[in-house]
This record gives sequence, C-alpha cells and structure tokens, in this order.
Amino acid sequence: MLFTENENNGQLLWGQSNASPYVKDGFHAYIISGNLEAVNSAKTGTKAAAHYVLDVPGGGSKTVRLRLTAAKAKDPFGSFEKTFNSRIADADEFYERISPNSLNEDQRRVHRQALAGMLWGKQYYYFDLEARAAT
Amino acid sequence: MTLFEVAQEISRRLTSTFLRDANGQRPVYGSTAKFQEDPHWRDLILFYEYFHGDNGAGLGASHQTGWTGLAAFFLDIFGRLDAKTTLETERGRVLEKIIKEQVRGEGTGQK
Repeated sequence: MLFTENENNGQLLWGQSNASPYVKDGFHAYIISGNLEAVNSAKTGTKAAAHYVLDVPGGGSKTVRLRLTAAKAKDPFGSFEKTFNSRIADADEFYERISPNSLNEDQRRVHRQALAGMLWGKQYYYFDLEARAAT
Repeated sequence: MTLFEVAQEISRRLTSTFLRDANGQRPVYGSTAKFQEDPHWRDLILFYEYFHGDNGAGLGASHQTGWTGLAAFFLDIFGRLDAKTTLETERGRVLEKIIKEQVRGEGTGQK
C-alpha cells in the first residue's frame, strides 16, 4: 500500500512551500519517476493506493481480489465468491423493483446505469414541481 | 399531437441519445467503434456532460456529476404514465402518485 496526502503540490504548481513532503501527485512521482521518497513510509495519509505490478500477456487478463477490513480477518477470501454474488443479486433485485415493467431490455439498462451513477456519485437533483407551478 | 404526446416525444428524443437505435448503435458513442461494437463495452453507458448537436455524440466530462443521467427520470415517468391518468389525476398529484408507486414497488419488474 502507498500513502500520501491528498493536497496539491503547491511547490510544483505555484512555487509555494508544501505543508507536507507527501502531496497529491506522490504516487505518480513514486511509480513513474521511481522517487521512493514521494510516499509516506510511515504508511499514513489522506490518500492511499494499492500498488500491484502484473505482467499481463496480450489478450490475457489478471484479476486482483481485494477486501478492506478494519482488523485482520482470519479467512478474508473464504467467502469472497459467495459475498460477491450475493451483492450482485441484491443490486439486481433493487433495480428489478424500481424499474417500470413497461421498459424493454435496453431501456432497463440505461435506466439502471443512470441511477447507479447518481447513487455512486451521491447526486440528488431536486426539482420542486409544486413550487415551480405556483410561481 | 396533444401536449402529452409532445412531452412524450421530447422524452423519447432525449433518451434515444443513450438507447440503441434501429441499427444497434447508441448516438452517445458517435463513431467510436470500440464503444459501439465491442461486446465488453457496448452496453456500458456513460452520461456525458453535453452532446454534439448534430449527432448526439457525448462530449466533455463523461462521469463526475452524471447529471444527464436524469434521462432515467423520463424513462421512469413515461414508463408509468399515460394520457388518461394524467388527465384524470388532480394537478400536482401526478408526481406524488408516481413516487408512491415507486416506493411500493408497484408496476415494476419485467413483464
């Protein structure tokens, strides 16, 4: 795991001094430029990344399975497949429940993905029809 | 056309930016062959910030706020509402009716 602070690199951008030596573009400096000092070796900071080096043959694929836990789990991947499938089933059930049955397969797809994007981005668009109609 | 049909038509045009057309192409992906044809990409839909005025191809940020995903609302409202219900429901109660249906999970799922 790599750690840095999610703060602008003011030194590079505006010639100002940085509050911490670990800045927003620290991972770039570490991975691309090989600057090992760019990430916090104390493994703490407001921005973190998992760093994997994989050789993927042309046309091939590799999968990385991750699980975030507060404490070290005994068997973190024992139920991975089951949990993953169960969450997929939850999402399927949720959208099945809210999409109008008059929609065809492709409309259903667009409806679901549009709503999923808003849930993921925590976006809520409020249009008060009655307040508008009253003016 | 009645006003309801006009509203329906505007909704159809807006949502058609994202939906597959008669040739299986989504206007939102313009001439980007990867997103139009690759089976791994073709059904993953991005809600761009704005669109090309002539062909509907997505432009600008493709994620971030995703506000053009409000197209979902049109699919929802016209997927549930017909002219008769709109005429016969007291003004201001139409949206309330739809929201109640959504919460109760009425008229949902696949046919």
